[in-house]
Amino acid sequence: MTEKTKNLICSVAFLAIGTLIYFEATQIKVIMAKDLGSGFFPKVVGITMILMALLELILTLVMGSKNGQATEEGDNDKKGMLLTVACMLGYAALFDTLGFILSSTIYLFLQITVLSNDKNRKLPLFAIISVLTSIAVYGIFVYLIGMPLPTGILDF
Amino acid sequence: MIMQALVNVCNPTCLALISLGVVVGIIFGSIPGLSATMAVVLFLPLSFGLEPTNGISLLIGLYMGGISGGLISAILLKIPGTPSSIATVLDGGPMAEKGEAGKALGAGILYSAIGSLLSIVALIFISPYLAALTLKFTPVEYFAIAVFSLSIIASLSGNSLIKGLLAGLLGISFALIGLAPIDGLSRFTFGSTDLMSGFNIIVLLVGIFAVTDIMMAGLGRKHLDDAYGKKAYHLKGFGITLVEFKDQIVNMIRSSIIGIVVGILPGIGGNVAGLLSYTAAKNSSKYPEKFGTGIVDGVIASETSNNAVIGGSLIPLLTMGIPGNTVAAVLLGGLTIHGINPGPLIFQKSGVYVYGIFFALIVATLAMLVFERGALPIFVKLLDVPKHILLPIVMVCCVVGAYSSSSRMFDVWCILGFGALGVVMKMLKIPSTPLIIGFILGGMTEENLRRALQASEGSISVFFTRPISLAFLVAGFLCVAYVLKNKYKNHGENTLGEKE
Repeated sequence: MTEKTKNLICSVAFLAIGTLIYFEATQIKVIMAKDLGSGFFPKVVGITMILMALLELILTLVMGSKNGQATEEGDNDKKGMLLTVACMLGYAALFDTLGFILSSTIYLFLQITVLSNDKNRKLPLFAIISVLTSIAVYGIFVYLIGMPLPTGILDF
Repeated sequence: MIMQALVNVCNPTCLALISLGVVVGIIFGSIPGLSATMAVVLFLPLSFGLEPTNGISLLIGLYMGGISGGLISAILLKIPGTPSSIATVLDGGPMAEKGEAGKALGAGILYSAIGSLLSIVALIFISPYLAALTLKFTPVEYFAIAVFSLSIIASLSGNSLIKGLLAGLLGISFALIGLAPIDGLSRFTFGSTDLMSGFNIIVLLVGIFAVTDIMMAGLGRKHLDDAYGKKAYHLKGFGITLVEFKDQIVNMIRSSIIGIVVGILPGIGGNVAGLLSYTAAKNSSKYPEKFGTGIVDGVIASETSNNAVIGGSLIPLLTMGIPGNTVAAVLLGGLTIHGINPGPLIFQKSGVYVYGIFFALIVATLAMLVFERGALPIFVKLLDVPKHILLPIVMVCCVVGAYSSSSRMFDVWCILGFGALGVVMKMLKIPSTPLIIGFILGGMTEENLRRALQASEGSISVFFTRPISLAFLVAGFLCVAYVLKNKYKNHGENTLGEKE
C-alpha cells in the first residue's frame, strides 16, 4: 500500500466519522435554560474532524506525486496476523460458554503455536504451559484477589 | 494526614504490592516489545479492586520499575527496553562490548534511583505551592487547562500533525458516548444499553496499548524470537568507586534537573530527557570525544534523567490534571478510577492519598534499587523468555483485566475492537497516544466549557479576560506554533537535502 493510499483511506474514514458525529449531534435537543446543550460539543468535534480530514485529503492529493512510493511491507506475515485475530475472536466467543480455564488453555495452546516457528515449536511444552498458566491465573484472580471469572462447563 | 498516609503505605500489603509492581515493571521494561505503559495498563483492573493507596502504590511501583528496567536490555542487548533508555545504548552498549557491562548496569541502577529520589524531592516541594496557586480556578480556567493539555497532542503527533489531531478528536468522540455531563442525556448509544455508561478507560487502554501489540506480533512472527546476542556481565557492588561517584556529582545534578524540567513540560518523554542530558554531559565534558566509545558518564546522564522524569511528570498531573506523557495519562486514568481527582483541591480532598503517593514513590525507589541490583541475574535470564510464549500469556491477562472491570463480556469484545483499531491506526501511521489524551480530557473540556458559558450567559470573552485562562490558552497556542515551526523547519531541510 502506498503512502498516498494510506492517507486517502485515513481522510475518507475520518470524513465519514465526522459526518456521522455531526448528524447524530443535530438530533440532540437543548433541555436546560442558558445551556449549550449536549449536542453542541459533539457538533464542534464533528465539524473540526470534517475540516481536518478535508485538509488531509487536499494535502494528500496535492503532494500525491511525492508520496507515491509503496512502503516496505514485504516481510509482513498477513497470515500470522489473521490467525492471531482468529484465535482472539474464538477465545472471546468461548470465554463465557467454556469458562475461563478451558477457553484460556485452548487459546494459549493455539496462539503460542501460531506465533512459534519450525525451530522452536514444541507442542508438549506448549500444552503444559497453557494448562498451568490458565490454572495459575484463575487461582490468583478467584481465590487470592476475589474477582469472579466464568466457570463454564467445568462448574467449580 | 501525613502520618495516616505513612501508616497506609508502610502496611505489609502495600509494601508487598509496591515490590510486586517494581519487579513486574522491571521485567516489562527490560524485555523489548513490552513497555512500562503496558505494565501499568495491565495492572489497572487489578488496582481497581484494591484500597486506593494500595492500588495507586502498585501502579507507582510499575511505573518506577518499568522506566528503570529498560537499561538492562539497553546495555546487554543494545536494544532499549523502553524508549526512555535510548540514550543509555549510546555508551552502555560499547561498555558491554569492552567487557564493562557489569559496571554499566550497576551505575545505571544506582543513578536511576538517585534521579528518582531527587525528582521526588522536587515533587514534594513544588506541588503543594502549585496546588495552592490554582485554588481560585473556576470552570473557565479548567477549560483553558483542558485546551492547553489537548495542545500536547501536537507534540505527541509524530510525523503528521493532522493525523495526531484526528486521533485526538477520535478519542474525544469515544468520550462522548454514554450519558452527557450536566443534563445526563443519552448520546451516541445507538440503542445499546452496554454503551449507556460509555467506554471504560481500562478497556480503551488495554485494547490500544496491549492487544494491538499482540496482534502486530502475528504480523511479525517470523522475527519474533530472533537471537539478540546477549553480552555477559560481572558486577560487584554498583560497579563504581567513591572517587568516580564524586566526579559524577555535577553530571548527576545537571541530569536530574533536566529530567525534572522535561517531566514538568507536557508532551516530552523520558527518551528526550535522556538524550538532552547525554548531550549536555558530552558538551560540558573535558573529554567529549570519548562519549559513544563506552564511558560511564553517558550511562549516568541518561539513566539519572529518565528516572527524574517520573517525579517531574507527577507535578502537573497531581496539581492540574495535565498528563505530560503516555504513562502519566494512564496514571491519570488510574487516579480517576479510585475517585482521586487531580486539581488544586487534591491536597484538601485526597490529601491522604497524595502523601501516600509521595511515600509510595520513595519506597518504590528503594525497592527498585534493592530488587534490580539483587535479582539482576534473574532479570537478565528473563530476557531469554521467548515472546511467542510470553505474548499469549499477556493476552490472557488483558482479557481477565477487561472482564473483571465490570464482569461483562461486552468489555472483552471492546478490547478486541480497540486492539483492531490500534492495528489499523498503526498501518495508516496514525499515532495512538493523542487518542488516549483526547479520551481522558474530552469530558473535562466539555463539562467546563458548558459550565463556564452558563455562568457567563454565553459570552466567550470570559476565556480571554481572566488572566490565568488567557495564559493557558496562549501557552497552548505557542505549544502548537512551536511544533508547527519545527515541523516546517525539518520539512524545509529534508526538501533541501533531497534537492542536493
